[in-house]
Amino acid sequence: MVQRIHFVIKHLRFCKSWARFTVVILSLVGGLSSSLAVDLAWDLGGKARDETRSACPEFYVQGLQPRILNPKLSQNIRLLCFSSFAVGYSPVSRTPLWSAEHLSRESLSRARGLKRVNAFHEEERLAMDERSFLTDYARSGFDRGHMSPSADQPTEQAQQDSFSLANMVPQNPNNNRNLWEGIESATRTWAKSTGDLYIITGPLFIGSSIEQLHERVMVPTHLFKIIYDPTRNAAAAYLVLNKDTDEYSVISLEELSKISGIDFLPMLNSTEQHAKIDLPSPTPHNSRSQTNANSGFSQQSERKGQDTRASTTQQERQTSSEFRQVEHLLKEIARMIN
Amino acid sequence: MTQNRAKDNEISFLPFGNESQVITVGSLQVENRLDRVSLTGNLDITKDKLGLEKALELMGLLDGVVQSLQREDLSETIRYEPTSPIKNPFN
Repeated sequence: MVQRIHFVIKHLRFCKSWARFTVVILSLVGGLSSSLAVDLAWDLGGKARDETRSACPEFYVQGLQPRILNPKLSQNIRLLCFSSFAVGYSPVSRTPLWSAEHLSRESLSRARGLKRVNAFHEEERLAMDERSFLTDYARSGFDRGHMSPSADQPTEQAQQDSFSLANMVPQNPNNNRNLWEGIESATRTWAKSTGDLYIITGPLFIGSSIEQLHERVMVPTHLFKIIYDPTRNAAAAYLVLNKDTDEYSVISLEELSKISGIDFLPMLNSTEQHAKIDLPSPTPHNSRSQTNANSGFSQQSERKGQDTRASTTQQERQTSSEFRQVEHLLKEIARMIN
Repeated sequence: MTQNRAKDNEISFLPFGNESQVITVGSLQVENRLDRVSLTGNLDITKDKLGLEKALELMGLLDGVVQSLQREDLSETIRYEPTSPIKNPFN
């Protein structure tokens, strides 16, 4: 099955070669500690590999922002720098396509006990017709899901920044508060332990049809969180459905770039993109499962020799579920080619 | 006393009054929406002065929620505004 995906992807790349020419207009707008950089990027025909240095390089590995492979994703993309993270925002989906942060033991130790009153707010640096509004999410039943989490932020300004709607996607509430919170918490714990991790979090919009809030904000089908470990120059990503689920997958950057149409870590070569590091099991903050070996969440992808406790039935169910997911993605990719 | 605690907040929490306010009590987030007030996270109310402070703050917030609900002509259950499908613009 995986070989079939690879074949289709190669075919896709063969059929659609494109180039990216990026014009960066930096406009610095005053703010106490947050600066604005709006990059206007668009794609022209031809072929080129462009690894653009970010206007806020401190949040990206080697300062390089993600490279968009699917030109439809880069339409009018806005690159926003915040105090402690950077966002690639799409006025098409009216959501971020990614939110990037650099976590350190030191920054996370400062993150505790900050401001007690915060406010979700519209991103005023975006044009009115590009930004999402608070009213877009009202009465929708969806949470405003942070991509770079508020609990990661080292300063009050950064924490307030994290409540910008440019850092939010419509997220299933149970997902946001359980599995996803567990992934965020496990990521922080790991960053405190290793002392240094780069994180990129974002939504995926997979499938021929996408739901919208108030005919304006696109609801992601999936969410991912990439963890890059600088000591090993290696990464992997959590992948979850934007549904009430306890299941997650861990995929390589190569797989994520094929599914998403974005090369999130362009400094990694193909061997490094193919490699996949182990990621910690989600640990919901302060819940009982944090002290148990079994977090209660199940990883969908096969982890050889590690799931010995899983019953045969559970394994079969997981395999079947994984198969359906891969099959679905293949169909989508095939449709993109046609 | 609870009213005093509520006033201590940097901004007064207006239950169901906006989509923006978030107040953190311990590790518990109280998030204001137009159709709900969401309490997420967790909170230890310890048997000490800090515990009393947190309990009073939470009580003040919930008092406001109850009073606001009692003033309204409530339906049995709220309804979500449905999402609508579009052709995926990224395909």
